[in-house]
Amino acid sequence: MREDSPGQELVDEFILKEIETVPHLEALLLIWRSRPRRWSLDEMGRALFLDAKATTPILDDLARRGLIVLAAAEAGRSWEYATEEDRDRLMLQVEVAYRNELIRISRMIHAKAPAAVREFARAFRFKKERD
Amino acid sequence: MERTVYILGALVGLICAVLLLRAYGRVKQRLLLWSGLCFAGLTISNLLVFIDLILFPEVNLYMWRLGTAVVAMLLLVYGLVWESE
Amino acid sequence: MIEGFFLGVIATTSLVAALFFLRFWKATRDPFFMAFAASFFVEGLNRGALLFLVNPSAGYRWTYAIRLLSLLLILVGILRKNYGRGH
Repeated sequence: MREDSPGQELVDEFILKEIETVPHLEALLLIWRSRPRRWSLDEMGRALFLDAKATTPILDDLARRGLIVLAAAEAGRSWEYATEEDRDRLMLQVEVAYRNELIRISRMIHAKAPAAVREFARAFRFKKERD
Repeated sequence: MERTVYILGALVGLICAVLLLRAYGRVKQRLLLWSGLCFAGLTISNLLVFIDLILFPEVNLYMWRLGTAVVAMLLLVYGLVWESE
Repeated sequence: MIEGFFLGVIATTSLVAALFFLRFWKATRDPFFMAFAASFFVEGLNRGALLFLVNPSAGYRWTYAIRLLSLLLILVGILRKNYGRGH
């Protein structure tokens, strides 16, 4: 019906490579859509319907991948989107894709092997490029 | 031949332990901790074999060799069961 | 008896570990996990076989050869992950 555009491939590749879970993607999209707004842990938690304990690893992971950046450490941490020209263009497509193909993308994310297993394999890579 | 195998065993164990524990330091994934400790334990077990049979043949470290390997493997299985999702 | 027990524990846990790595291989299709699965499987059988020997602490020729095999399986797995085709 809809032929695979190179855009979709890139979107899928990005999601498979950088997105651990669906809340990760939703957090990233929230931050992306509202940029350059800064989000605190509590605000993000409320937006994701998660508590602080569950939200922290999500934001830490996104920050470690360079997708968002820790904006302020005083008076509680807050994060904002990390602008990067190529990725910004991709994010537009990711946003559209997620809006139009929610089920397919969620399924794709869930089908990834557990993070622990992937990290085990990654530990043995000598050249530490991301995945 | 035995000498080589034990040294190689200790070496492989050490490589795996270092890679896994370093990765654990970076990403804090618990499976890496338990498996890293397992390989560290197996490294020690291998070194003990070497020490037992070749350096100090008059001392019997067999139970220690086995014991460290047992602990190491239990750590690995614990990690695999609880942390591999 | 304790020696036998310890050997049994090592053999069994090795086989269990092998099963987990087999499962990881199925989930990721990464041959790296197959290397670990094979290595632990071989070592598990190796240790188990020692239970049937009279003097397991002395060491036997073939037991070293098999252990060497299990080590090489891991080494080759690591090398292929980093330098193999399509890594």
